[in-house]
Amino acid sequence: MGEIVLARIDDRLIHGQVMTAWLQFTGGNHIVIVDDATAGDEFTKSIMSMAVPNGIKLSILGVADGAKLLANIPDGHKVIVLAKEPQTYWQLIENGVSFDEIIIGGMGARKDRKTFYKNISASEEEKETFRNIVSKNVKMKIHVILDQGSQAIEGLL
Amino acid sequence: MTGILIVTHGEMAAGIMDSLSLIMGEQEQYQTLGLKHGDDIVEFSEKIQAGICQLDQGDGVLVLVDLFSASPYNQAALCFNKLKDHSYRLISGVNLPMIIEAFNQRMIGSDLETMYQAAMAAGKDGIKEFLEEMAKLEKNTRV
Repeated sequence: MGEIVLARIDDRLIHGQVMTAWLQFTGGNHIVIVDDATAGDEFTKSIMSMAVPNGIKLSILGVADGAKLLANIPDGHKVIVLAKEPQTYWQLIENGVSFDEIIIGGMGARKDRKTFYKNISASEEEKETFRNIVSKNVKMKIHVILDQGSQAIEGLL
Repeated sequence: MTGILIVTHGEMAAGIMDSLSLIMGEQEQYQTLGLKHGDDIVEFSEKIQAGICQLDQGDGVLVLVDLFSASPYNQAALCFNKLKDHSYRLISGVNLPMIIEAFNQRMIGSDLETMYQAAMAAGKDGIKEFLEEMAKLEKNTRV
């Protein structure tokens, strides 16, 4: 059975920083993007796929298919999970996926969000989702840039 | 006149235009955009789209970004289908030789296709190492 080596919330899904630093650090070999809208958009999928280095597998799936894959990861797969919002992770958990830890890498200042911690913003609904996730014994922390340390969110909720 | 839009992480876009104005003087019909920590990515995309629409006066827009497959590039690429009424070309790896060439080409009246090809070539050609260049020089004088 394979494993999840990183689960990250990031508005931007795949972008330069995720690809270079986190792939090297985690040894990940399979990126799984879980996002219903992206999964249904061939054009966006092709742009996302350009960012993936040779030798790294990319799957872009909706929540239902993502949960199926993540609940039964093939041998040898070291998976980096990327989703835009905490709600996606909550849906995955409700669909039987287990996570040890989820990091918040990028949640920008959307109109419905307020500053949560430094450059990370969250809406009230998203904070509630953080609480729900943490209540399932999943560690959650803010970790934007790999070599700049992390901040547990428990004290912020 | 072709519009020029420069989109980067942080202040690089504004900085590179500051450098350009030192070399070529003040320019017109261009915009710069910088992505900052904590920016909303949807809003950033909207700024890119608005920039392209405003800069396109019928001759299209040359969009120059810092990194291939990073957010400025991705967002400028993702709006391609929404901006079907505008023609634009998107080049990553923006550097000073590249934008000098782009503004030069525009000045001499080149169209978008010529501009983007020349800018791309100049951007690549501007990367050289001193001792390698010296060695080439010696080799050429010996012949």
